[in-house]
Amino acid sequence: MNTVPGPLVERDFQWNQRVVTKKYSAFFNITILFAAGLIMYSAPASAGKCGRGCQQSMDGACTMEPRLWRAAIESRFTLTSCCRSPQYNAQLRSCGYFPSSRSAHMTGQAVDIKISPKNCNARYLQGIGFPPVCPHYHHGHCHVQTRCGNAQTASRARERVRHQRAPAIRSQSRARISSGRTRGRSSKVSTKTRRSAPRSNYRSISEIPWYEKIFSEIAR
Amino acid sequence: MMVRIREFILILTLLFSFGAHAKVECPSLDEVKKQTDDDLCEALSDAAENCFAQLNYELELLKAKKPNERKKERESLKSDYQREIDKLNNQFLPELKSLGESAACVDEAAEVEEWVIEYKRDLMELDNLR
Repeated sequence: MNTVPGPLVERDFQWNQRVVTKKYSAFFNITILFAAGLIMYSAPASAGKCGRGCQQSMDGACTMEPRLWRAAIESRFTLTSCCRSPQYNAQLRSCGYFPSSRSAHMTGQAVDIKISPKNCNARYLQGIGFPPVCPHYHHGHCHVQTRCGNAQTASRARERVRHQRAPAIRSQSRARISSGRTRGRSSKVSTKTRRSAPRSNYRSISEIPWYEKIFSEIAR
Repeated sequence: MMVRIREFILILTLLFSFGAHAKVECPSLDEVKKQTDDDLCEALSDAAENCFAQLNYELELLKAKKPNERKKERESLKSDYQREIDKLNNQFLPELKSLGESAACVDEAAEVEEWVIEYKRDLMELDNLR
């Protein structure tokens, strides 16, 4: 992973603006203006930290998969997004979009390019100099990522889901639930709840990992 | 007139506080797509997880109630689970398996399949709940 120079911050900004104006009606104009203000204020800040090419990624570094970056630049297609920063994700959220914290853009393993849907396939992209990639077309761009799933990674993904419901998390949640919403009931009921609640993960929406990740990102 | 409105609000509040559990309705495929600018694979997997968290929370609340209190709510929650399982099987998984020459969202499809197993496990638990 190298520090990558380039003019992408401006393009990212334009793309973000386009997305915003496309999505919302006049009713949300004030919100959009506020969001645009945030973008104008924070995009140069990120650029200042990371150089011109890439925004800050999750680990604080401004990096991107070098082979992917080189191919994307040499292909001369318009790039609409490369490395994302938590700040940039926060901007998207303020505009009503909900990007995943696990996004390949956060780790520099994806780039969005403007090509026709029929050319958004691994064969064509490898033909023009891209490394092995798994692209797919959506929202008017080709999302090109170097991380391709296989049987082994899929198995790890399954394991990750099972781990989400690990006994340690369950017992924490059980304790929270019995001391929270069931407060005021007899202790007998609470004890029974603790014993008979074998698979509880979350107490409220704010404890859903997706939200937790966002809050921790905002707090960064 | 003002008193009547207050009474009406009070009745509504009472109805809601003693009524069925809060209906859990998670975003459809189109809604997730609208709310996602990018990274559709991750967004769909996250949506499946978030929905599970909401349903599982309702299940835990239900389990904490007395058997005679939870009879009605149990059926309602069961239908919520079933509807969301159908949504994952009929909307999310086909989309994840078809994106990018069926190779772009392999891991996320596996994750959603695993979440479906967890939904079904909860549903079975709900079935066995007296």
